[in-house]
Amino acid sequence: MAGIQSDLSSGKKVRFPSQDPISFQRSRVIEEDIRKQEQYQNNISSGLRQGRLAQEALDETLDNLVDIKRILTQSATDSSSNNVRENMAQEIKGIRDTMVSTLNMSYGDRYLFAGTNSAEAPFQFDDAVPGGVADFSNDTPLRVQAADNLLIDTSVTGTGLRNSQAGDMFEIIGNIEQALLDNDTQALNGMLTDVDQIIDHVSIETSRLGNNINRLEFMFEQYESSNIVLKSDVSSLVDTDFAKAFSDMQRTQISFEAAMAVHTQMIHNTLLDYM
Amino acid sequence: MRTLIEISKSGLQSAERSLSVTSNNIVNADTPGYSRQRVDKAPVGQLMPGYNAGLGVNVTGITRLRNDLADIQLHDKRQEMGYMQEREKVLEQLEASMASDSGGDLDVQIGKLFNTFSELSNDPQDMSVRNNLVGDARQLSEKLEDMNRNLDRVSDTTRDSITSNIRQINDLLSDLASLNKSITTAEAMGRPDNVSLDIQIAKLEKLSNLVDIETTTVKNGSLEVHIGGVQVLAEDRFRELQPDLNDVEKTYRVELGNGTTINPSGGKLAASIDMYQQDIPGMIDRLDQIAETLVTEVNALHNQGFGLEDGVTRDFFDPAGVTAATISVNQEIVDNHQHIAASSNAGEAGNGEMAASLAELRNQQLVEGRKLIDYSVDTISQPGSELSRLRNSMDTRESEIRMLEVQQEREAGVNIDEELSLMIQFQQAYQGAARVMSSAQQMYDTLINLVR
Repeated sequence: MAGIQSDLSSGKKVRFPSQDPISFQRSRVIEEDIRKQEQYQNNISSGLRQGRLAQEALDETLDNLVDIKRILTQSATDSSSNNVRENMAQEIKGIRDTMVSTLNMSYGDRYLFAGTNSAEAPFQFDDAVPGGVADFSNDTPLRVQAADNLLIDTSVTGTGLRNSQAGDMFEIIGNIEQALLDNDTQALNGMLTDVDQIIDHVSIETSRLGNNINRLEFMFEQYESSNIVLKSDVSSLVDTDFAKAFSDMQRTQISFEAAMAVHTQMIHNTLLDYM
Repeated sequence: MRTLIEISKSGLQSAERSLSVTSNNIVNADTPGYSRQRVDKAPVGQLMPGYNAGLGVNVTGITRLRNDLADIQLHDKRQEMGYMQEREKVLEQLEASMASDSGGDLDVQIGKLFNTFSELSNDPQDMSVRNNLVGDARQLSEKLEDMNRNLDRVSDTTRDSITSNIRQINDLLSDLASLNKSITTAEAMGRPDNVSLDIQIAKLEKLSNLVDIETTTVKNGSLEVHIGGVQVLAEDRFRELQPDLNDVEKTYRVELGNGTTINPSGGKLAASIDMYQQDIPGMIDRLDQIAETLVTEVNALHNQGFGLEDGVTRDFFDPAGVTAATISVNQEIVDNHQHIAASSNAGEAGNGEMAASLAELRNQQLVEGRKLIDYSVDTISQPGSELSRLRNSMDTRESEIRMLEVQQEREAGVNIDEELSLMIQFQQAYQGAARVMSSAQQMYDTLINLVR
């Protein structure tokens, strides 16, 4: 009776190993799997937050690059005046500065595009460098642990991002600026393909990151559903089956009462009463 | 003429004796070890010329009803039961100190540590995760220390219970020795000392619960007791058991005064000794192994990684503490959480690959071909699984004992109803004999009045 009562009040039929060693051990091993998966889910959520931020920054960068292309096309075809070209150069410089600040996006105190050198802003202005933007990132991307032996990139590295087929992104932008200032139409025309290549490169990087984000989301859902299965396994191993516990309780109660009744009857049947 | 009075007198005496034996049975109905008694009677007769005349009834003795074979079987079962009961008691303590239902068990703590390593790999620059990691590691070390301490405590209580068992055995042996004396004296006079025999039964019941004994009754009625093949009681002399303890090596031997070692194999004594010498140190060994594996494996990886501040490699756990009692987090790490090596390369703040590798340790088969957590689950549930096995065999053993006790009860137990009906019978026998005496008296009175 006491056993059934504690099963009912605690909601668990196996609380100590001695109650059912095999269920106990199995449930603890499954619980470890659940714990691990929940941690992977946490990792994935954190990765997703970082990845989505990075993706947003990349989208903005793409928009900026398209702006640059628009200006470049205008300047290359138009026989614009010096003044206009100078303005355009200013505009390009402004866009470049925006790009730098966008790509210096940080998550907490972690710079998302710095590779693993994430304690430092990856893009820093430095006139000594061609293009005027120094690279402080490395080419090891940030990663999260999404499963056993599986690390997934949650961002692209600054180094990887700026190295397009046409060359360093900021150097090309710097060259455009310079060509505008120099009023060099021929050079500007020549750089149209470069900008196209940069845009292609950034969009490829963006979609690669997008793929990883999709993959992380998919894994998250998978963990979610497998956790439900695992939890119900644990529950069937150690939780009280209430219907069964109640019927057991009833049965035990009846046999207990029967035993009591028999005992009272027996104890009255003694010769002492007849003497 | 005299015979009439004599016959009725013998009837009165035998009825009185029977009545007193019956009442003694009734009042001792629930005295441990008591065996019901019966009055043995025989008719008295005299050969007269031509016929054989009955001259009344004689009380020839008082017999104790008891099934000796059942007693011997009961001793066997009781010492097995005593062994299992004691083992159960200690295992219950062990289980309580190893596993709980509150969720803070060893396996959970180890899992938490690995989880936090994994969390750190997401964002190695996050100081709050680093704080948590050190907290988790310290909690885990404290858990191991705590479990180790609990096991030590169980070991100490077990040691004390061995000592008290030995004292009880010595007391019982001394009691049995003095009982032997009165039993043999009574036996020599031809009148068995039923009271002492019953007390002897009760003492043997206690003794067989404590230790495995073999008993033999020699011709003069005295009892000899052997423990593990060594004689400890003969006639009215017994040999005292003496403890020989080594608390460091965890050995506990039982000796006689002359240096003979006794190896008890049953009863509470043997159970306590087994637990003290093997089971509890075995558990501690397993905890130590978990601690050692944690320290060496985590350190091996941690030593290849780098913290946030400098390019120096460090241990995560203090390499000096490789037992459950001594495991602790490296003081350098405790003092400065930046030194936790999450990175696989020096100077890369965002590199969490070493932390990820450390988290992967949970998937590796590090102890006896098993994962650390599986081994921990196995360790904490070991006393419990043994307990559940033990309880199964205890149930069987208990029903066997109950069966034998019922058998013995049928033979030696007092049935109040039966005794009451005998009481009525003896009462009537007494009344009848008294009636005979009074009618004899009337007869003589009539005769004497004639003469007057």
